[in-house]
Amino acid sequence: MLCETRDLTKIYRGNHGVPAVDRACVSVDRAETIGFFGESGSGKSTLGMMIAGLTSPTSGQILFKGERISMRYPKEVRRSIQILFQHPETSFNPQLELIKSLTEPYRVYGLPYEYSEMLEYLSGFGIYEEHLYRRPSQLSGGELQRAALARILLVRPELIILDEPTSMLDVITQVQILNILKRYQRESDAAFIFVSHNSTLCRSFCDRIYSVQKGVFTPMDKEE
Amino acid sequence: MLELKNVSVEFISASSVRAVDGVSMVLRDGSRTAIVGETGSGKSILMLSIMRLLASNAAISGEILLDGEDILKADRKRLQQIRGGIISYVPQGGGASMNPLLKVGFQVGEPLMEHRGVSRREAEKKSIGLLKFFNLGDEERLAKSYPHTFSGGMRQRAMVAMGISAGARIILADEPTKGLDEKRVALVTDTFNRLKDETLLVVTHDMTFAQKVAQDICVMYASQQVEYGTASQIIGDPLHPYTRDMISAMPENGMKYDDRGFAPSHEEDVKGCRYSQRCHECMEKCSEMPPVADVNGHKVRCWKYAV
Repeated sequence: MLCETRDLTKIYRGNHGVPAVDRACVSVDRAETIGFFGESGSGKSTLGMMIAGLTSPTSGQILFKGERISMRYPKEVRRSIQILFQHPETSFNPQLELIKSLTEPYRVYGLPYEYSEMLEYLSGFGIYEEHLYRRPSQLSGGELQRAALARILLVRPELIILDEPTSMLDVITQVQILNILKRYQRESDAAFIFVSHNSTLCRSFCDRIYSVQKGVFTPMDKEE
Repeated sequence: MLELKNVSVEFISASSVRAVDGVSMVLRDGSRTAIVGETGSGKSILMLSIMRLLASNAAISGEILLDGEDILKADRKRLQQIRGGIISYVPQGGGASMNPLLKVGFQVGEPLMEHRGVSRREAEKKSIGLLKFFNLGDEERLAKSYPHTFSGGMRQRAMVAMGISAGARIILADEPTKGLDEKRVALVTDTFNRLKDETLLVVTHDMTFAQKVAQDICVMYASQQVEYGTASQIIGDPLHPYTRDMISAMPENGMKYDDRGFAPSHEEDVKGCRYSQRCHECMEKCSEMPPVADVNGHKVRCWKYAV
């Protein structure tokens, strides 16, 4: 198993002890896509955020490649687990030109950087030189989400949490983003956790689905 | 009646960008129209230009006729009467558009005070009635609550209540279902279907929602209107290759889409049909801009239908 959680629980302060995520036991293997399907507020994003190391669990464990990981993820684990958010416009620093945000992984992880190679890589996501010198507010939601995806795939993650990545996008851009992800999965055997409130989409994109209600994660029959 | 005649919007800066290019539309009283298209296709800009809410570097050309009166020529005072009084605008992402420091009941009733000279107490009382009309549940308590205690879907519906509170006859709603889950989309759909006499114009990327609320659908692609007809024509018998691709890419239809790249950017100077680079039916002729053809009242900008 690439990643699993054991009785992972999150209780937000000020929420009268009501858990947002209640003893969740989920697992995902390499080359597998699992879905968290539920209404907004059901706790599906909170579990995604905990696995990504962005929110600390109240109790329970997260295992990545068989080893327990604690809140302060080592740099290599951070690189291996990436997250794509629902709102592309808030995934980027609004003050920076896109190029600054897109070259960040090269600096952080010391990847070999060559401007022309980067341009070539980005063209696969429909991001061209003219986009690079604009700020996020001057780009469309679809362009930003494709740029966010390009930034994530650059570090070759092993697990990607997809938190409603297409709910703000039109159907064609949605298919394009999902196709890029599927292609990446075939090449790299990466695992995906797909968080969504769209049942049709969840069924067609995921191998297995957990239904999420009031913080409780239950495996669900895909045909249900 | 609201009529758009050849409306274009250009943003003038170092390099000017044409965000809307020659859109024409007729919104008859009580009609419901949806504008669909991908992000960046110009749909929201078109809506903002009707409200005259664009930044000062936006040059709008063409005519926007409200019962024959050109809104583009209206002065400040007249615009104030029109905004909220005749045409109201429900912006994208309801939450950020409400004042976090004011109670929802006051905000929903505010247009009544502004446009109809109603007292604050009376307006707040009426706002409870409006929230009840849209069936938000426990309306007395909600009216006394602050926006942050509302869910996204509730805020969106409260925004529609605010939009019609002063009796505006034309409602413009920008992406009212964006990011909401299925249950909440159904509630927002119900909210719009409760409006019977008002003229409705919604911008959405959600085809299923468009089909449920609108009689007419306008499809936009790369700042142009590529297809315009009744919802049954557009969904049941789409003509433009882009509309067809969009419909087959819907999750309900199996998300079939043969990827042929991305929309041209605003700066790219595409001479011919803007969809030609991605179109599987592209012909030699498509290197020239296609005219708008009329197929039984169903308008389409594609060489395939040009006579």
